[in-house]
Amino acid sequence: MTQKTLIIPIAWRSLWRNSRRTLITFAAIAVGVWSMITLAAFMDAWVGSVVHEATNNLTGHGQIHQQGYLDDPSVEYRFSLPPASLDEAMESPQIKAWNRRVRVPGIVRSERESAPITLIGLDPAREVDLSFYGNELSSGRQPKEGRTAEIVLGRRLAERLHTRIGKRVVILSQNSSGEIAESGLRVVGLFDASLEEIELGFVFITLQKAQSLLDIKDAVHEVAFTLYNPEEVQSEVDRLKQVFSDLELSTWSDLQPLAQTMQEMSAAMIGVWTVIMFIIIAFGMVNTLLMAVYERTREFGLLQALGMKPRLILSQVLLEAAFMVGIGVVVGMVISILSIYAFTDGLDLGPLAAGADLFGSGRVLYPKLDLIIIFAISSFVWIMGILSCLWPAWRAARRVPVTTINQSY
Amino acid sequence: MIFALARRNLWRQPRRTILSTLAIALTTTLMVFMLSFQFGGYLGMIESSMALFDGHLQIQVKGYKKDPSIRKTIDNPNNLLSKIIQNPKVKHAGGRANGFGLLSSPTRSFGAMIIGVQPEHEPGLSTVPKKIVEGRFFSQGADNEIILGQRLAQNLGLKVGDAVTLLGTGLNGSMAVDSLQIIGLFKSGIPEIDRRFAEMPLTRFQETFSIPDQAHSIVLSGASAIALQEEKENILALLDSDSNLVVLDWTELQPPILQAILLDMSSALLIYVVLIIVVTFSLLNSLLMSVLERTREFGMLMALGMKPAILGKVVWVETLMLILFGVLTGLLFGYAISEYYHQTGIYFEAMEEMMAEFGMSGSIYPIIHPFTLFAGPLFISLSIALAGLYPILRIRRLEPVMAMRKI
Repeated sequence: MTQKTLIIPIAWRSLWRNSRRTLITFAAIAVGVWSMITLAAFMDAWVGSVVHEATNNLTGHGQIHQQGYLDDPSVEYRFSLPPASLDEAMESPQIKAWNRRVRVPGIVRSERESAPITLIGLDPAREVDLSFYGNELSSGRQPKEGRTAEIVLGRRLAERLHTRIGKRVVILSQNSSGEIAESGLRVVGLFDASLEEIELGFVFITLQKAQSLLDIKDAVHEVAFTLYNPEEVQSEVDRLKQVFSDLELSTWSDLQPLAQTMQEMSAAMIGVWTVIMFIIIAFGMVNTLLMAVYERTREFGLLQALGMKPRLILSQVLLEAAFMVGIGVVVGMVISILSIYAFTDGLDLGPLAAGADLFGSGRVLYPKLDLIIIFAISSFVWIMGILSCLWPAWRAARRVPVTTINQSY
Repeated sequence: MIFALARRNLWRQPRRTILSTLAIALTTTLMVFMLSFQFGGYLGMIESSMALFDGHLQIQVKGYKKDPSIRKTIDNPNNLLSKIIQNPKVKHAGGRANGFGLLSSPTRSFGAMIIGVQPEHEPGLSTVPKKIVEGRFFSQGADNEIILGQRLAQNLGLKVGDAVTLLGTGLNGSMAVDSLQIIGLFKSGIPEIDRRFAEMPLTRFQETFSIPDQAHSIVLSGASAIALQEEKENILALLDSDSNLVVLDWTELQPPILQAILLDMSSALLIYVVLIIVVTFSLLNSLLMSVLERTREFGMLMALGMKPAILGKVVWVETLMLILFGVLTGLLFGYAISEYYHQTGIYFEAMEEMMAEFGMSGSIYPIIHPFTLFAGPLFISLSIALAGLYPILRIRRLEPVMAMRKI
């Protein structure tokens, strides 16, 4: 065995000379690393939920509107495209689902109450993979195709209006010529939504019924789409911009800037926490290793007197640090993977759901194992941990042999 | 003597002592600042979300909050106002009515929430009068006037001075029709509100919606939402006991805010616990080592007749001094940082949009409160002191002869 490989078992055995101390250091590092990785996973889950809520509530990954609609969402800012050209443009391998919608402000009136709503006309079958409305209704059924006088309300809106399936409500909205269009419709279905404002504020009728009510022929207000890979939304939007040069193309982060902000904030928080935790761990670690070096002063002196190069002593102590931090990091990694795994069915925020809603997330968070993040955090702690032990290692190596051998306790 | 020994022991290894102190101080600073920042944020969130419309406390008919039907009115609100204002904590009080209607210009129509307010009381209850960007707020005795959200007016294509037609449903399904003059536009910064809300004088509202001399809520304001929350019972006592009125505090008016705070608190609590655990483990090693390396010395002292209990005390005092030193330094720094930002506020450019959602500006003002100052230091001290017991237990088990032979 050469000198260089010899220091590996020496470092390993030195580590276990005082096993209690080593175990305590492991524990500190492991808990710290666990907190970093678990926090990252939950923040990630929260951001994922915010993005999912933001896109799933009718936004999709991208939308097409008439110029001006987003500032003033009213019947005038509609657009009409030959169906073939729209079909052709949306026929992209990236696009998972897309749909045309009529979307205007209006009023719904029951026998007893009235409420402001957003009236949406769409083909429900095409909402699958696009929005929550593609899921099954909580009760009742979708309106029959065509110009049927049938409507689907949010469950809480129906409660507020004191109406139910089978009853009639009246919808009022401004039509294309500026007059108030009025239509009596039968409630045939109720939907549940994760956000209260959606359940209270949106009603759905068929696309044809909405177009005839507003007298806008085959025009729509919005085309929404989802992609197989949300990361590619910008390039997809750029492509569609070429095709529909006079329309406004937006990505979900344009439409829901809040979700974007949360994503940035969460990344910043993970970074800050990792650094803070690391500093606290480093204090303990450096202290421990300083002690370990200090109590072996005589030993290092002897090794040097026997001809061991200071560089090798430095490497030996660093190697010890690498073992110490490395094992702590691995243990932290394992318990964090286990604790993330324990929540694969989701963390239900249950009674605090309305609060979660205010932060833009759904009521269940699904932490995911992101190997890149785990690896990034672990290697940060490992490398920085070894670097911070340069100080004790340097102290061990620079001692003058003779004085240290003579030194007694 | 114990103190002198402990102090000297600490300075035998100044480097270690300083590192340990720094670790405690850093954690304490962090916790003091985080708590004051967190609670400052909560207070800001409560106050600003209540400021626009809700006020600090509301009196409503039972069930109105859950199902705001126009029928659920409070009779003779002015009579009630004169009673409530007797409570010294209540600074302002005013009646309000809420309805819904279709607002139309010659070319456009939009549904909007219409709020009937008392011009003489409203400026003390809501920030809407301060958020007028064009025109003015109602003066006393205002009649056929209306104030619109800026977006709403823009979408209607109307300006200050124009007339707007209101079409709504009054009591018992009666038609509520009125023509009003726009005298001002407000901009809250929350698009949903600027697009959907309008205010008119309460007296005119009562006529239009056929609810003569009635209101849907009495809004109260005082020093803060928390201050009036404590006054809830006293105000309830001022009301007729047989009435079906209820007093709602901020937690009932804005349950999502309370839940958001609880959610944030529970995640923050977890973070504090982890912080304390890690710093304790970090420290435990140093404490343990400072005992182990003195095994020979302790053995000698015991052989000379010193009782393990006294040795234990010396080590215990060492630990306490270390904690005290670290915690006080941390407390000082934490307090200084919090106090500084309490004055200047912390501005988050990136968060402005998110905070607007809660009705807040881009700044958070940390608050200084005994709880935010001392909760962190207290738990850190307790946890480390507890860990400090472990090395002492080891001293108790020392055998003088064996100990002296140790290196």
